[in-house]
Amino acid sequence: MDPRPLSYWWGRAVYGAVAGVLFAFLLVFLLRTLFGFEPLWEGGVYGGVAGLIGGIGFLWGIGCFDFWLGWAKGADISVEDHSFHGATNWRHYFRLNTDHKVIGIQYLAMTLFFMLWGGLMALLIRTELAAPGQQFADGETFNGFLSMHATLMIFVFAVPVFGGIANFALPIMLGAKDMAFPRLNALSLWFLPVAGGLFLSSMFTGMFGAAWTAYPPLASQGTMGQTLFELGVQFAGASSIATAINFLATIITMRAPGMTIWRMPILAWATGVTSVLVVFATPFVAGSQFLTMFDRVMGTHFFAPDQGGDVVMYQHIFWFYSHPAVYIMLLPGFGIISEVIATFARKPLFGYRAMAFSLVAIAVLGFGVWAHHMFVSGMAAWLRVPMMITTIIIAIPTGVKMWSWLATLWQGKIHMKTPMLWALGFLFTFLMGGLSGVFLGVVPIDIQVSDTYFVTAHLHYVLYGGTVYTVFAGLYYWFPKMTGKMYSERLGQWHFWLTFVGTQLTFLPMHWQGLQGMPRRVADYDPRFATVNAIETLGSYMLAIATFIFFYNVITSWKSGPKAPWNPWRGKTLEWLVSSPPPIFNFDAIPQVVGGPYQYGIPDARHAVVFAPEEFGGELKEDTRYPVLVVANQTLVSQTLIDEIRSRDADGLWSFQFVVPVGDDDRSIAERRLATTLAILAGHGVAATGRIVEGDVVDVATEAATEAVPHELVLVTLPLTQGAWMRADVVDKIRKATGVPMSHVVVPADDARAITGASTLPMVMVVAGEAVGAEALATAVRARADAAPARFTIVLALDLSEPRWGAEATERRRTAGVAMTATVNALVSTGVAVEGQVMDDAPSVALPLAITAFAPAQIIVAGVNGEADALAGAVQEAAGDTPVEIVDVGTVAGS
Amino acid sequence: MATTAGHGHAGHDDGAHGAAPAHGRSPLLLSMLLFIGSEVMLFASLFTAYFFIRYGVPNETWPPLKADGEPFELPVVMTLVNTLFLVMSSFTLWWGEQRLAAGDNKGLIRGLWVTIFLGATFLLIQLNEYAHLGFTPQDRAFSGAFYTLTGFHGMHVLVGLIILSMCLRRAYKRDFSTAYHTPLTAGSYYWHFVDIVWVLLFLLVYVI
Amino acid sequence: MYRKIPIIPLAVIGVVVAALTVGQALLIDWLPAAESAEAQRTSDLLWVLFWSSTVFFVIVTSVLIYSVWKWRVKDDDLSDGPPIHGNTMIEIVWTVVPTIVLVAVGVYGYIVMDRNEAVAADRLTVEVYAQQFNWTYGYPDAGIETGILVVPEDRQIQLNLRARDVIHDFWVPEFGIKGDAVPGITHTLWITPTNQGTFPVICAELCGAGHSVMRSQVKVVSPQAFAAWLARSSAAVKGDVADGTTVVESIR
Repeated sequence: MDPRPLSYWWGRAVYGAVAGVLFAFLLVFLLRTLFGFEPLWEGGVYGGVAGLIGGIGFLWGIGCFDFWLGWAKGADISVEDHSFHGATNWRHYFRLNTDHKVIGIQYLAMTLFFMLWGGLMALLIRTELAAPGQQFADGETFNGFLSMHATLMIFVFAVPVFGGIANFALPIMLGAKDMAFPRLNALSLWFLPVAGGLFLSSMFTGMFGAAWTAYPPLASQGTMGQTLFELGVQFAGASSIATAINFLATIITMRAPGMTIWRMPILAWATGVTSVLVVFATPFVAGSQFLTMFDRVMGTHFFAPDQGGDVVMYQHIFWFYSHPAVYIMLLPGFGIISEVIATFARKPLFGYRAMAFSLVAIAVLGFGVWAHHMFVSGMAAWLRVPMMITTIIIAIPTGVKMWSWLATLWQGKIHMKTPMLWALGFLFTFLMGGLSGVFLGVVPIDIQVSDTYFVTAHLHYVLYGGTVYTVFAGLYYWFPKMTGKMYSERLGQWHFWLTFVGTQLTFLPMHWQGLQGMPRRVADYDPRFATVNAIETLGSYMLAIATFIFFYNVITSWKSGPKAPWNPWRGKTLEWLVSSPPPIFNFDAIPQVVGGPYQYGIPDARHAVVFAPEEFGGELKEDTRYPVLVVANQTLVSQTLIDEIRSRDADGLWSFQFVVPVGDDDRSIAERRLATTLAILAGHGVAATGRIVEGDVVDVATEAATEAVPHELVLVTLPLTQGAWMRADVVDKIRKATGVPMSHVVVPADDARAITGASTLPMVMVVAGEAVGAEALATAVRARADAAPARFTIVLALDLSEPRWGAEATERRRTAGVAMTATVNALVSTGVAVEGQVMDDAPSVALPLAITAFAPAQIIVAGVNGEADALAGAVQEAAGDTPVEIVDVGTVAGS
Repeated sequence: MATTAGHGHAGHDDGAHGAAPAHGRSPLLLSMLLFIGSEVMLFASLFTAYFFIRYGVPNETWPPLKADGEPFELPVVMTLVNTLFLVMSSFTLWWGEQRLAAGDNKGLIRGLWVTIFLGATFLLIQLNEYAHLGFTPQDRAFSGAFYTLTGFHGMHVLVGLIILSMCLRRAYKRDFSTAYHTPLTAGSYYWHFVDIVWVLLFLLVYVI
Repeated sequence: MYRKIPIIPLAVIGVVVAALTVGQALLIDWLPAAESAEAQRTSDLLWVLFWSSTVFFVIVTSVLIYSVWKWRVKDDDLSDGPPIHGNTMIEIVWTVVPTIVLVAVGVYGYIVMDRNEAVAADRLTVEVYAQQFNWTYGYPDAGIETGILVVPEDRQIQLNLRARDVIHDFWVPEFGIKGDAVPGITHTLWITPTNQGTFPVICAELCGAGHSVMRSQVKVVSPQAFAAWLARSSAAVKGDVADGTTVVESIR
């Protein structure tokens, strides 16, 4: 791992950015002086060039180009240089990293950050619109809010966020060790803060106010912020294209053996199709922004009609990207929903091939509908008809997807976990957005509602429902895999429901507003719209609160949530075959794909088998449990050991085999201990087996390891000063002898003696009179323990006479206590889980109390000298249904 | 937060990532083709602008009139010669690749040098033309579109020259052989794309 | 397979959803009053689309609600659902039926569009000038310009939209017609007002800081009143031609 600290890289990045800006100023100054351009201090030109070169300087500083520059300079660079790969602590997430898992999380952090900014803008918009008249923002400021809102949400949230989710999940789902071009991947990521930074920095120069659509001639007016917008779009576009190329190369060339394209998870199809859209459509928005930028800073006349320019041309070029852009923001989400619904309905995805083809159809048709954004623009009137036709037709493949998702749910086994809730919410919300889209596709209706709140309603229904809901579905679905922790299901449900209600509240009334006559992008409106606007503002605040719940959930769960198993959702795709979080190169062994990814309902069907490396010898399957050997004797039944096994079992992947070497110890004691341990573990749901083996610990362990070839050997011992094993240095000896990975667990002596962890065993209450202290009682208890593991409470009712504080009572209590302690110790040291209770009252009072308190599964009344029957009487009534056994432990000749 | 789990195995022993593709296609070539696709679309957007200005604006004569009432004139003959230089450079590059396939690394080097020389010549002549055109990008929409199209193309030629120089350097280091020359192939794809775009540009803007 | 469709529960849910949807559709005043022939046709088209959408909405929502209600399981249920990968018949049905509905909708939409833009021989032409941030209307034959659009009832009006600086958009919600005013081109709209009254003219394309307040009015009057107003205004202007255009006080 590269040793240089964060401060080095960020120092370089700042230096690069500042140096770039200064160099830009110098360059522009020189050129303008040399060529005599007037005026010398044209802000837009300086700002534009400074943004460009400063941005590139930042990218150089953070290290994006180091490898390639080093290679170009002839340095000794190896393609296998992994010094920037993987993350072992939080710092690695804050600098250049080539690991797709780290990049994916970095993408998510960045895009969610910009989502918060975009959301802030939305709240500012809604607060201004809460009532008619100006609340706090004038027209120009308001235009800045709405422009910034959409720009951030589209270019640096909705488009790249799927790059983040797919970056993390897709290579693992395909069985690859990383993306095809990890360094290019990192560069794509770092373009994003440059883009977002350029957008946000316009707050200092005057926010761009021509909306995200930036139509000239309005875009030719205004402050330098508009130039920063145009530049930011270029960086965002470059990021998008590079990522798309990377995805396509990975999907096409790096799938696991046996994974034909019809065996890929649908997310791979969705990401691949989206990437094709990105590669071929994004350059058009780049072109559109080049042209407006040239008009602004170079004085060209692309959009000046009196100089031969054409205003509507911009809209054609812009929308030729921006319509496919909405599919870029939707299709990956469709892929995520397919994964989530199949997993949480436990059914194969309905109509896999139709789903794949419909993705392609939507993408292809998506290139042919752009002018439906321009029905009222004054473009060539004849073009409206074919565009109406293609727009209406695109509803068909989209409909096929909706029907298929419903069919996947039909007759499934639906688990209403948070990811599934988001999927269901998506189905409802996107349906409404899609239906309103058909309205908009019909020209006469569009003429009525274009540029009104009807459009705002439609776009938020499809984008909130289609992008945001699917992003949250994906984030909750893969959260355990990414972080190794489980999120809080309760907070997740709150997040969903608040968002769902908030979405309807905020955007449903907008349909009415638009039809009734409220235009878009206005800071003020006719007072008759006051009530709906107020309701929508409340809805927007609800959405804000819901979003905060989400972030709270993510942060607290990541820090201190419960550990996540490898496959919490029992999914079948490849990412669930590796640990949570995955190992640094994803797979320790190459997966071999043998079937489709959604074979739920077929008992032995498998998507992939993982071939183990040679040392494991042989084939591992996705539901295999790897053996772990546990070597222990005197530490069996200790709380430490029980906790250790339980915590490992949370992975869901191990089968525990206990091997108990008894050297010179009493075999029966070891057997008893082992039986108790296994019973306790079984009570906690841990599958474990065990056997006693006579012999030296090193020999026994070695033989067992050779036979079982375990994934790991866990040696559990007493501390060095208190255990014979440690004194004999067995840890190293076993390690050398077996060659198997070893862990050593040390159990404090009193823990080993205590047997406190037996709470899952049934409780047996032993009522002893003077039998306490008798060897026969201990024998009887041992015999009962051997019959079936249990934990015991020995109860002795003293029947003290008054006064109970007197000398006689005290003496009797002391004697009883000594006897009880001796009995208990003797039993514990032979592996029985037992504790003792000495009670002052007479049996008829004390015993019923004890029965109520301990709620035993069985009662044994042990007595000597015939007292058992007498005691039994006191017990019988209070016992109720609990079985009572009377044992006469014979005569006692003293204790 | 670690992405390493406590397995004790960091096995990735199957060779360099991406150098041994599972399905036999070179990721580098595929990526270069996709990249060229995106650049083609960028030029398409600029050509779109050109076509709107040429055919879409009403009342516009063609070529448009400059401020002094004279129509814009483009140096078709000189540019035709320049075009031939560029087309020749594609052939010299192809010839160099053929020499490499026959095991002649020196032939490849020669071919690359000639290609670079021809490409640089093209650029210099273009710059000279710019100086002598008699109109600036700011004159009318047409001139802006003209400079944008040819300017973007010129920048792509420059990038192509850089790529070819990197290939040349690697050829000197004997990095390429009959068996392995993927980066060279990728570079030549790019150069041919630059050439084809120019031919189209020449026909659509200068000739028609 | 058809026998297994649980008709009754689905129908019950469907009826409830439909009732809610249709209820709010009928109880809420969705559209402004249609004050032009075009708005009337568009309004009819809107309702057709609404009812067809409702059918699909009800079907999807009912299936969704029913599925979640019927097949939800607890966390400890580890079983899988039946391994159904597809069903060709149903896939054909759910592709073909929406296609038919959409084609019908498209055809109807085209017919409305065609009728709305059929140019009448006796139309009245008005020049509309949009600029940051107001509207001006010119009546070239009469040689006047006004700040309020005055038009006669029951006659097709041709509006030639022109923009003087950036893109604006001329919109009267009650007329159901809107169009961008774009610098460099003349964009033509046709409106046939059917009722008298005063209606707002709203700018519907972001045009700068004053976009929200760029409003005007259109007054629809009887043909006689219109002719009278035109004559009066024209006469007032003829005596006072400075640069050929004057903004004249509009009819009250």
